[in-house]
Amino acid sequence: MMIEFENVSFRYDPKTDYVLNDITFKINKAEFVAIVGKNGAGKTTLIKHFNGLLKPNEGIVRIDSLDITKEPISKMASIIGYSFQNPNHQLFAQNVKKELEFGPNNLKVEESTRDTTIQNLVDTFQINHLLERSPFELSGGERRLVSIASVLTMNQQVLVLDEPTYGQDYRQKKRLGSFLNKLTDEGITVVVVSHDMDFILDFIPRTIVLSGGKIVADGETSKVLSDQTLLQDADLISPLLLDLCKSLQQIDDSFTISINEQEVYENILALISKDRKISR
Amino acid sequence: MVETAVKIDNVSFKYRNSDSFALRRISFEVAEGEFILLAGFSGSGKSTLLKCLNGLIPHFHAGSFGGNVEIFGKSTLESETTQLAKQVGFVFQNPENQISNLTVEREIAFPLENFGVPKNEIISRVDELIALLNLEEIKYKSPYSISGGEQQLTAIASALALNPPILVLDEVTAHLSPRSAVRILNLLNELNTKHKKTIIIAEHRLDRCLHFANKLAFLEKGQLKVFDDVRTVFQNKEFPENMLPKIPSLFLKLDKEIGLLDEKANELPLTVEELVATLK
Ligand SMILES: Nc1ncnc2c1ncn2[C@@H]1O[C@H](COP(=O)(O)OP(=O)(O)OP(=O)(O)O)[C@@H](O)[C@H]1O
Ligand SMILES: Nc1ncnc2c1ncn2[C@@H]1O[C@H](COP(=O)(O)OP(=O)(O)OP(=O)(O)O)[C@@H](O)[C@H]1O
Ligand SMILES: [Mg+2]
Ligand SMILES: [Mg+2]
Repeated sequence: MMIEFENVSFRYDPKTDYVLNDITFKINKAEFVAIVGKNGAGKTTLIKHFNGLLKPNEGIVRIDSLDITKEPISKMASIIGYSFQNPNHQLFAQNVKKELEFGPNNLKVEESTRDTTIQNLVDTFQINHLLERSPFELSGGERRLVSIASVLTMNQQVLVLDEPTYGQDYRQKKRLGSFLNKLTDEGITVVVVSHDMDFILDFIPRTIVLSGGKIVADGETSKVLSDQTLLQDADLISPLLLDLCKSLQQIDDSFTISINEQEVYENILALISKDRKISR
Repeated sequence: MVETAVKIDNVSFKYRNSDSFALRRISFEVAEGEFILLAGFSGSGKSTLLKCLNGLIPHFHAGSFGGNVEIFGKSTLESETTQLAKQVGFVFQNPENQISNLTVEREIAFPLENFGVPKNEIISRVDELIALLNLEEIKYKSPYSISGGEQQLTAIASALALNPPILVLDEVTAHLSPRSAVRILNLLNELNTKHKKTIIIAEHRLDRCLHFANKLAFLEKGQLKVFDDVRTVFQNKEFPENMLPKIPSLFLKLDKEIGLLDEKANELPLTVEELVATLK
């Protein structure tokens, strides 16, 4: 499904500044998009508009042709999967298994379909050993993972995940990234808010930068994340590999810049062997 | 002679309701003024170990505790947690677990009020912390209606309030923007080098802090697998290759392919600058 923001403005309180100020953008069906920006930039506020958790003071939010500012939140649940930044706002069941079953049961998904979906998630994220445990007696990363998985159980057409990777080790991040990639291949639209630049660079092709209540950049991830002024604006920091390449370029101006680990490795190898030939 | 700040002696812990030990016979010592990184997969026991340092375990968490933890020579079993709070500034993995007050400002003042610090001192200390952590804009807001990153900064400020000699921080940069995370990690470095604070942190952004850590403790399934100088740990086979931070990882790969360690460098580079120097 397509998501469209048209001139959306929002503030929590009429006495304070707008957190979102006249925002317009479009996300197409089956896109995988990252939203970045400094702390307090309004990322969470923005995505809470996707499913009507917050309603704009001005402007329109559309999912396909549906103006969702006019729809009840309950209706949105079957269309949009939403994972809160803090899993404590989401988890409540007696054990992890019941937590995972809650969403599909609520949407009256057939039991066998439900069980197949859940089994697939349990296998993908290797959380079999957690099923009988209370969601409140897990490690921070485990709890985050369960809260994400419990959203993925419902097979909605749009997924909105607020900081899904924090607390996850690289194995879980890789599983999540590949899983989300597969979903977009199947036509699902995925929007992720994140401070995790490595995850975004590895998995998410398009990045939107939010700053001062506005969208200040929107484009191909590798371009957006290597633009110095944008980085500053969004309170981001240049990727280490980019810093490294720039320093190496000062030594040898033919050194090509890349933020792909394998490419940087190969470029350095080439640099060294060239160097060695000369010194011989 | 440098004092021992933390002594962990043969510590084991099993949560009530759990059928396996979260910590298994862990022993190591931290000298006053050291900066220790704690790493491990999700669920390996990092938070559990940190909670042993301020007495939350065994005083508040039900379960079976074995062994002994000493803070400046005194066993946590014999200390009250309120007394420990003066010595160990603690930040939980989930910042919401420690907020309770009406405003951010009051939240930071809370530990000071608890210990009967004079009012004028409280005011100046709180102002100082608000400036240090850039919280001016939100100081009158409720800690429940601020962003995830702002909550984390607030929790850090209140942990610093009593100016404790030891700081124990559990993944405190998880919700911070990359630049803000680096700012906090640099602040910790400064507290460590200039003010001789002993710092023990579980942190996922190893890339951005490994160069100021003295040692790294690697936990796996509740066991301490490696505890050593950071460079030594990264060359230890017990440390998972995929968990290696970018720069040392790149260097070790290059070294394996073409041999750099003796020819160009006598120690493993940790930062971009160090790596560039070895390639010159
Ligand atoms: N419930 C609320 N009531 C009033 N103000 C709020 C509320 N929630 C957030 N804010 C404020 O709105 C602004 C945007 O917050 P939001 O949570 O959208 O930021 P964010 O970009 O998600 O930040 P982070 O990266 O730290 O999670 C912040 O200044 C925050 O203090
Ligand atoms: N309150 C609890 N009750 C029972 N078991 C728990 C509780 N908290 C954590 N555990 C279990 O203890 C083990 C260690 O958890 P801990 O929180 O220390 O891990 P961690 O290394 O901090 O992980 P993460 O990186 O995900 O935060 C895990 O298997 C976890 O499921
Ligand atoms: Mg947020
Ligand atoms: Mg933890």
